[in-house]
Amino acid sequence: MNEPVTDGDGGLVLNRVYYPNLGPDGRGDAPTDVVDDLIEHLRPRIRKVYPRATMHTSKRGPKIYFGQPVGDDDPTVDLVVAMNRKEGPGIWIPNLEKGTWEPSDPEKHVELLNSDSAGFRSTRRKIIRLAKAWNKQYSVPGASSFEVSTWAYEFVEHGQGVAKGLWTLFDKAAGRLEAGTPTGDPAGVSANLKLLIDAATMATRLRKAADHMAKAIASNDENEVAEAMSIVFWTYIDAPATSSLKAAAALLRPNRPVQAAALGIGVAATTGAAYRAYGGRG
Amino acid sequence: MRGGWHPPLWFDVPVGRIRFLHQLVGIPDVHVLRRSAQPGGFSVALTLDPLGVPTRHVTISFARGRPMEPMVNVDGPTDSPHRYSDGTLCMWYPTDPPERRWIHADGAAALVANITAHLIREEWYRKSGEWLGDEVRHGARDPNNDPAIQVPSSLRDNQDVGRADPVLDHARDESAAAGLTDASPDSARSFTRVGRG
Repeated sequence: MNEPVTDGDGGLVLNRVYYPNLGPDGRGDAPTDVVDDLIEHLRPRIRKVYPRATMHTSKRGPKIYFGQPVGDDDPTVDLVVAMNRKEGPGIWIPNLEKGTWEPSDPEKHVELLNSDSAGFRSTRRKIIRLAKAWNKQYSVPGASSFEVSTWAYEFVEHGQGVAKGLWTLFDKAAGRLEAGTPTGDPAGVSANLKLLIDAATMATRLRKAADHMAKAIASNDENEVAEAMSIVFWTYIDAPATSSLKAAAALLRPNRPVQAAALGIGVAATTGAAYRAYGGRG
Repeated sequence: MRGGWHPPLWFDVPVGRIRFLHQLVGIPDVHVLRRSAQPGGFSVALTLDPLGVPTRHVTISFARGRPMEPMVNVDGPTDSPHRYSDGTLCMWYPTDPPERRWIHADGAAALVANITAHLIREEWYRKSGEWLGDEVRHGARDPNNDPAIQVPSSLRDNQDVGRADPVLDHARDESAAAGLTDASPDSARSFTRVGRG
């Protein structure tokens, strides 16, 4: 479901003595130039080994594409250029979109997620993987992987199995968004987390997933369970009751013209491409 | 002399109606409604069985005041993010250019194809919460959770082919910045301290 070898992450913590101008604890210089310098430093060295490597930036620093896929995987590396904070926990990390530094405490996040019993952590890890896989099915994932993990940390309870815990994550995350309540940084350092799509859409997705899971958990009928779960995990689970609709959805998802006959209609025509549905009743 | 001569609307003349209906050969139960849903207009009813969707009875109407804009009513559930307040389907943004919406010259068969696609999209939305395809949404903003405006990843090498996906990059960034990776939520990215001292 989650392909573990899609990217690698690393970080560099700069010694402030040699970068006195950088960041809120220095003279306030933005991270843009130091990230540019790092890219210029890395590019020739990386290209000695990977001649087709390309250097990009993401929100937090350099992002390297190696141009040398391994099978179906084409791993990337994200680097975060950080500085220790003079006051307060955690580090300063770049926000290259805004040209600013933001506080974060990644080590605290790991500490929090590792702070429970081994059995509970194991169950919660499985729930996180399933929730991330669910999220990634959408053409545009609705939440970052970190926010999904945060929801699991906040909502999954001791004694819950994987199914009940996953339902709890969907249900409570939906409830939070329906109430317009923010998701805070569990370390209490960074700003509140933001979704990747509008909250109303994400709330709908979560609520429908929760409803289908509730139906599956409550049912003793194998076909009913399969039908419900084939909607939550449509990429991974098949069921006869939903196969036709899923096939139709698969035809329409790429947003290209589709023959009417493929959609079950006996006319010689195709659908339009890039129509923008409107109307605000939903 | 009051007013002036206006050419007949396309559905006022038999050839216009016949042409429209002829393009729907192959669709079950196509018939012209004796009394149009729009006074003085033209309404056609038909039955569709879209893939994965229960049978739907559809009425396509054209009004005298807007003879080129179809109004489409469908039976069945109405839960959809893309219906007008009167329940008619909203399949395209009204002022989009012709290549992004149906126009009369596209013909009745293309209209029915798009109605079919819309019904499938609605059914999928009711199940999954996902709208397949482009959409214009409007509604109250949630300042606590809605995303900030995103800037796509920048290219640094002119010869490079940009493959960065700003949405997924953002997702990975947040996860990465928090020290959490897809491989294991319990592991941290390693930070290397640079500079002497």
